[in-house]
Amino acid sequence: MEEVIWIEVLSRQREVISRFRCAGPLIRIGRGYANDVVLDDPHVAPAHARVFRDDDGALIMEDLGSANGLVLSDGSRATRTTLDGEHPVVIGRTLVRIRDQSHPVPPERAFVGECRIWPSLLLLGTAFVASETLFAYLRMITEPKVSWLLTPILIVAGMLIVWTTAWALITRVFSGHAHFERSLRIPLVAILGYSLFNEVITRGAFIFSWSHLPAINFIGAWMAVAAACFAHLQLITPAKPALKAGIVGGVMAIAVLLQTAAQYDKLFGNESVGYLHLLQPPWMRLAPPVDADQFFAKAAGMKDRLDKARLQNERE
Amino acid sequence: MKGDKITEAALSCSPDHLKQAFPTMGSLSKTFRFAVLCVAMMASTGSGARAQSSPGAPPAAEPPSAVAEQIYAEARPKLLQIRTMLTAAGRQASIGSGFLVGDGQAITNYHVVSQYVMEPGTYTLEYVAMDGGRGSLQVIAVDVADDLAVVRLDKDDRPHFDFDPRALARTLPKGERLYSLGNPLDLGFAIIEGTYNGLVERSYGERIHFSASLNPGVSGGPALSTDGRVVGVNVARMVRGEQVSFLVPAIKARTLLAEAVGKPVPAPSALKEDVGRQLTAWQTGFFKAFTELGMREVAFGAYQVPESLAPWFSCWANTNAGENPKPRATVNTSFCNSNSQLFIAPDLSSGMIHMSHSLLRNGDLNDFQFASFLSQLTNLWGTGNQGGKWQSQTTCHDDFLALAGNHPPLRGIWCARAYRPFNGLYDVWMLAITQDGSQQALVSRLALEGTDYDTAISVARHFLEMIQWKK
Repeated sequence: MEEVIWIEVLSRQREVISRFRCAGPLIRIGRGYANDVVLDDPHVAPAHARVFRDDDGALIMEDLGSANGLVLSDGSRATRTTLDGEHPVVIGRTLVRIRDQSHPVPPERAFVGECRIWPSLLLLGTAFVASETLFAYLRMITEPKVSWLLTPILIVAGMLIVWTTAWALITRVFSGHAHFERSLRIPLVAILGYSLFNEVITRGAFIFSWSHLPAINFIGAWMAVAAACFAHLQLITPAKPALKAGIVGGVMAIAVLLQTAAQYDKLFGNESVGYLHLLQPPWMRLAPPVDADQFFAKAAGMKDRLDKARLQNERE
Repeated sequence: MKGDKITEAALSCSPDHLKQAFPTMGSLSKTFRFAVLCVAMMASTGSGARAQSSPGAPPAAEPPSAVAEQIYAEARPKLLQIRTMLTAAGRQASIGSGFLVGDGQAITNYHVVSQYVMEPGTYTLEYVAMDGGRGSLQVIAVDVADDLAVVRLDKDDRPHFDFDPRALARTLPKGERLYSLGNPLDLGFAIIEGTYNGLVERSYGERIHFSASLNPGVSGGPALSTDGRVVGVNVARMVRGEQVSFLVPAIKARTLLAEAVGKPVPAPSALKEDVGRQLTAWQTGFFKAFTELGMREVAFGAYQVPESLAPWFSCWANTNAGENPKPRATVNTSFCNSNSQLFIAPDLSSGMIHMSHSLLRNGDLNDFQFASFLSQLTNLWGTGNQGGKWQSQTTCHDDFLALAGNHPPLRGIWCARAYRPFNGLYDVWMLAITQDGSQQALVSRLALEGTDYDTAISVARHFLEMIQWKK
């Protein structure tokens, strides 16, 4: 059987721009018209390189004495390299990948795969709208108005679309596929998670009488953002999950620390107004009540703190 | 937010449509800001130096204005304009009036000199006499509770006023004509005719109700009887009222003057310390009186709530029942504010007690919605100047409360802040919200301004323990 070798010219994003079918085993590459594959790149020599099989049968590319030579995927220059069909070689400024007919390709991807995302998207979207509606309903103290409910949902939906589009573009650039549906699913999950976290925090503060709990709400927001970013990065390529988790987690930790530092006084220091603003139905309370002695003992204990605060930033 | 509105109403006391002619706490803070922001308007205005009276006019053919003309003519050399100068700018920051009482001393309001007393490094005092003479002033003594100050001039060569013996003996009849003098809005000295209307009712401090139009700048000027003797000192007006003004009784001025005679000029820092001592002493007496007068139980819905028996509270009520669209829970609020406000600095007032109770009845809200509705009523009120110049940040503690006895379960909130310039004085708030179900609820609020911490705790505890189920 006649040997077939494919010369593929790739873009910087590793997408195939053009593909040349060559009958092996010897292929010449260069700018001149005497070559089998002509590259219109001023940095390519008229007769730049040739591809052949060595005695072991491996595909080899060899420089034919060009000025710029061959640059391998690790950035090193070579005059001769073994081709594995995966790593492109840079000739001039052109990325070239060479594969033979035996190069394996992934199995056919069924339509079902992508289609399966839509029901989950629908489910998540419904869950989000339903939960927002429920929470808003539970807080509704005036006559119900559709706009009152719809406005925040539409705002969030708009933000979701912007976020998703941005990540889909990034994914498209780096992986070749936009994965819009998958990109939409990630922030949907994140926002649903944050919304639930927020409810748990708000109600938990009442249930256990932890008045300062709502102050840490921002940590939940950062966690949701970090988890979403990690999932988006995983979507682009599943490689190096530990490194990505480390970077995203580190950035999140810095953000949380910065915000904590910025709000330190408000959260824990003298500026904390620190009482529970949002009450829940009395039957939700789990914290045991205190008696008057305990309550006023705590109140009396604040005196020293106030006296210290009094002398801070005193203007004379 | 609706909740804000309710608290605001609680603060501003009487809604406009009630047309009650008593200074309400909301307006009082403005009421006292007399001398403040009276910047010179036009150089030429009010500089008229021509004689305005004819002292020798025959009494027989006296026109109606002859008395006023004569009083003004006699009072002229005894009056002062008192200017608080921003030292760095060399220009007046606020103005007031004052009157000479002998020995080179003059009386004015504490609030006229308060900026200097509180921030002596920033402000200086200056007087301008009617003859154009001017010079520096020393503050000898202040009385914060009665809003008075004695100042000493750099020279003593002018005539002075005497106090009216009938005013000192408190025997002036209602309806007596009084003539108030001062320099309103820096337009030049003016004489303002009005009527003595006895002492203001429901006021902790003694104030004369004077039916005349007092304006910013006349603070500290004298109010004279027809024979030209001092009956009171101009101090305030009611912003919402018409011709409702207030005087400090002459006897308070004479008492302070007696203390000041022969006293050496105190250092500025000593004056400020004295203000602190006076506030501490004042609040001791005030809260002692408040506690001794006691509180009584008043039925409010399913609950019993405390109400002060002190006569110097103004109490009002309001409801959201008539609102449109119809509210989904009704709120009926009764609130009482003590008429005891003290002016300490233009941006610091103190000395008041606020008590209020809001009764909520659920209409068609579910448990969660009712809790949200209730949450709107849990904000503090009057914490406008948080962490400001004069007070520390507000700090709070809250918890669920189960009091032994016939009490509904409560959510208690305790908040407090300290006064920066004065050791041992605090503003304290306490909120108690019943936690007995979702059909009704009670939100009781207590706010004490300028109180000693232990007093606040004992007053608040008593207040809290009086919130009970209706027997």
